[in-house]
Amino acid sequence: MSSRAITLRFASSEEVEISKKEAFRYMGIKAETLPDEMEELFGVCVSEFKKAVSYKACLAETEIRFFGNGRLDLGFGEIESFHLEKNLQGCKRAVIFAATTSIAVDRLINRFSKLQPSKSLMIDAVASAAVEDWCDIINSEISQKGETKPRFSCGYGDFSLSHQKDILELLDAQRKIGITLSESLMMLPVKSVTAIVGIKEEEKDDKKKA
Amino acid sequence: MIRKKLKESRLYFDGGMGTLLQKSGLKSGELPENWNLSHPEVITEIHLEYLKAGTNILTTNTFGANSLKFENLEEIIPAAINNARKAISLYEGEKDNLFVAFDVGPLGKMLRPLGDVDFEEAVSVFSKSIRIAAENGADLVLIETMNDLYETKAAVLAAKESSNLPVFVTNAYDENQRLMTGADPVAVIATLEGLGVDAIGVNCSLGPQKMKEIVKIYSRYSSLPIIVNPNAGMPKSVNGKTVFDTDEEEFSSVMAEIAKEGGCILGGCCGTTPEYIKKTVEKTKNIQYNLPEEKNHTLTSSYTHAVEIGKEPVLIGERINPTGKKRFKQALRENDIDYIISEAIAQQEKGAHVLDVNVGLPEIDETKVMLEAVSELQAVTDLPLQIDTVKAETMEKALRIYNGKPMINSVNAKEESLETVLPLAKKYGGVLIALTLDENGIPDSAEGRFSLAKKIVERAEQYGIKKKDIVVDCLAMTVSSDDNSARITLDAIAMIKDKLGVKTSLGVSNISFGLPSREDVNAVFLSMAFERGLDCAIMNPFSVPMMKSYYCFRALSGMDKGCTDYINFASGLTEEKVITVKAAEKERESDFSPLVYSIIKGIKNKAFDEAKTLLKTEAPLDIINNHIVFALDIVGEKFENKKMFLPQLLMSAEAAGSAFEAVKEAISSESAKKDKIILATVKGDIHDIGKNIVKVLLQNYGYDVIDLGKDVSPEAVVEAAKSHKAKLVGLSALMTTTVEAMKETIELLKKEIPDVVTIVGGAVLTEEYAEMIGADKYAKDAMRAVRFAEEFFQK
Repeated sequence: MSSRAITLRFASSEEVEISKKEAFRYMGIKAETLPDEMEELFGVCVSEFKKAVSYKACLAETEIRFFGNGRLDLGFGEIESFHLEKNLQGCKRAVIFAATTSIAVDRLINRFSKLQPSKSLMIDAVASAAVEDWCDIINSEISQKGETKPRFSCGYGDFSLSHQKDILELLDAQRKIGITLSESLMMLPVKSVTAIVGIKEEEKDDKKKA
Repeated sequence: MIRKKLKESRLYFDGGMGTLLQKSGLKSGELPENWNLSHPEVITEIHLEYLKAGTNILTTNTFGANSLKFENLEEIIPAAINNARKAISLYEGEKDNLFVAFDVGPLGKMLRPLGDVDFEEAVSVFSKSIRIAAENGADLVLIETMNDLYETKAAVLAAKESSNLPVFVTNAYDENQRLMTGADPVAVIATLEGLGVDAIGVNCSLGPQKMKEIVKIYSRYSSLPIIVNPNAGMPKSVNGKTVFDTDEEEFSSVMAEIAKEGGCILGGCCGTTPEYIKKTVEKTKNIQYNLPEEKNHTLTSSYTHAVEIGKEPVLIGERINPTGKKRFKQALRENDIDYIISEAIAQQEKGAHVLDVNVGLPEIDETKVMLEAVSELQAVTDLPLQIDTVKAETMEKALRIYNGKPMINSVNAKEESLETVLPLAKKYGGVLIALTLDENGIPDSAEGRFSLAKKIVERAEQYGIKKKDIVVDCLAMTVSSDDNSARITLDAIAMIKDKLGVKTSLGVSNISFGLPSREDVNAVFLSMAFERGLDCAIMNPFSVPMMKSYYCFRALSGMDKGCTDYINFASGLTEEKVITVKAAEKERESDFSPLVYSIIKGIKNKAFDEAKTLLKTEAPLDIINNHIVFALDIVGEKFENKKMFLPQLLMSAEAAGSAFEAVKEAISSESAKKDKIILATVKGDIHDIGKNIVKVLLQNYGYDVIDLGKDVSPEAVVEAAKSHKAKLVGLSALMTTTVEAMKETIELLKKEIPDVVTIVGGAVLTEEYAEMIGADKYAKDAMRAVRFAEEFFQK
């Protein structure tokens, strides 16, 4: 339970354009186009993914308090991370969000994982690309609040993965969009992302005053 | 008590607790449940405010009070109930209609197979809390905000098994009118009615406007009182604070509409306050109160959707059954669950609506295999399952872990069967297949079968099982040994439908036993049975004549708008041929044999057909060595030289796999003795794509892969390595957090079986990392694993 304002954001399957290039990259393919026999299967995978996906996200804006020496507070207790501190330099506020493609996608990946791993692999790659594209949309909406820093997630650098729990709790993400955490700190649905986006302080106003 | 009140008049729940606690000073990150002990007067005051607003049912401040989050449940839960009781004692109005509901929220964890919490573990966590609540005087249990059907079932079973309290359940739907894990309202209603709860409904996540649409669905399908506890609209952020977009005026007006739509118990959830409840009570108290009528929908459901029996013919796929199937028996003996899964998917693709699951074979542990099959099937197919076994123990355990409302195959009119199966159907819920036979066998007249059907229905009703949940199978006997047998069955179907008013099912293909062109006989018999009112056919969806009969019947009976389904089906029959012709054209340009070509190109069906054709002229082992392995070597080399990508490698491997399948039937299992490799994704890791890729390749290179699945404990790996006498163990880990489990597994393996060799892989591993955790070999990709296995077993 949090007293922070949490907003929800949903998107339709059409709203998120899936980067084919990124999906290829997740499959280990460097080419721009696929051989015929793969192209067909890839098309099937994208369309099955689109039928299954349900894009959901929840966001909360928070103040950042810096205590120096890598220590800071984003609203879920004092944490230590030099990398995050660096990332958020020059910011007083940040948006924390969680985004997911929902559990039907996990089911789809699992469904083929034993019987047709090629398809499972492709859908997995499509989903990985799609969740990042979904995050980009959310990110661009956040940047309307001001210039933003690159989004930063648990597990990057020295920002411990154990904070995943704090972030999901702060966002009430289980209840709001169905993201849970396994014992090994894996998010379920698997194609879920949490991130912190620092918002740079407007310097214009200060300059004007000066 | 509350059950009686509910029959008389509309009752009211309270509204949100969280927002009010925050106003009273609850800090972000602080657990509200602790306030039952630290600030009892605040909790009591909030309860009292709701009572003054008109609430009849107070919900305790125990949303997250479970043993995963709290160690002092013995203190928190009694205190929470006391706080509510105290509010009632302080309340100065009428006290007759006031109740305390023990509030149970979700665990915040995902259950297996999607997550890592076992179903029975969830049941026991819920049981702990509910038992304490029952001992401390709660009047009912409210299971709420559940967004997963399986977890809802775990909580309901826990409530039923650890208390005698009435059980109310509300689920949280999203904008698409589904639970987070996919269930639609009808699947939820069917499952919960089957489990015998007292009232069902909706809460949280949506405002009243959007919830109204879901309430309409509940009104249409539910025979139970409907609870409606919406949020105060959608949350918005205003100046850094959460504001809900529906005020008490609008909220209560929509609640009045909801009352007219059939809402029986009304209240609120996030963002609602005593004022919302007060206005709701004012605007609804004079609206006429009606309990829902008894509905007559016969529903079976999976974890996503329900299938209604009685509207249109329902096809129940019969192929997951070893009777008369050599290949299936072999799969069961080898514990080859993948084979069972592939049968399921294939039947679904052919148009089955429900799948019968029978794994009875004398020499195997039927219960164990049934449970594995049910849970694996529910991970890959969203069709409802029909649990088919004669063993009571197998039946009970399968019904218990099933996610949804299953079909139960079967009960008959024998005393023993009635006494064992009916109590199980009552406890777990399900659509019961009732066979018209008893101690004296199968009656040889329609009247005889009718009277047995009647007997079963009456006995079931004594147990509280409703008529709508019984589907009678009048049994088809072979027409070649009795000219009248088809007529008797058909007459019985019509009589049972007409006079008993229950739905019917039939295992169709028995009719043609001993005759030539069996499928044609089956197809005509199926049409005749549909015409006489048959509701479900247990049949082989691969039978083209029978499927033709089904699609034609629907089109000719006005069930298929614009004959669309029939046209799709009919054009599908010709399409397959076109694809085969195209493939044949391309292949002429290739230097390879047709089989090798189809493997390299990854054309699965064709590889199977080509292997079958080759079997006429070549020995099975020659086909394997000269075609399949030859093709795989070409593909493997191309992959290693980066001329082929991983998905292509897999497509080829799958094509090779299907060619193997074709050849397999021709080789005795003796001659196919292969080297064994154990594979597992380590404990805590539930993402097993990588392991499955390695598995497919190893299998195609002729290894006997014992796949232990995902989230496998070190002990289980050691035990499998010992019992299979396997010398090579492959382990996969995806997350940095689970590499530690990989290390533990290797340590235990080395300790228990010193000469075992371990090979590891996974996204986060590197050569150095692998060495550090004591692995013998690191495989960067699936082909490396294959190459290492080849090296290893050649030694």
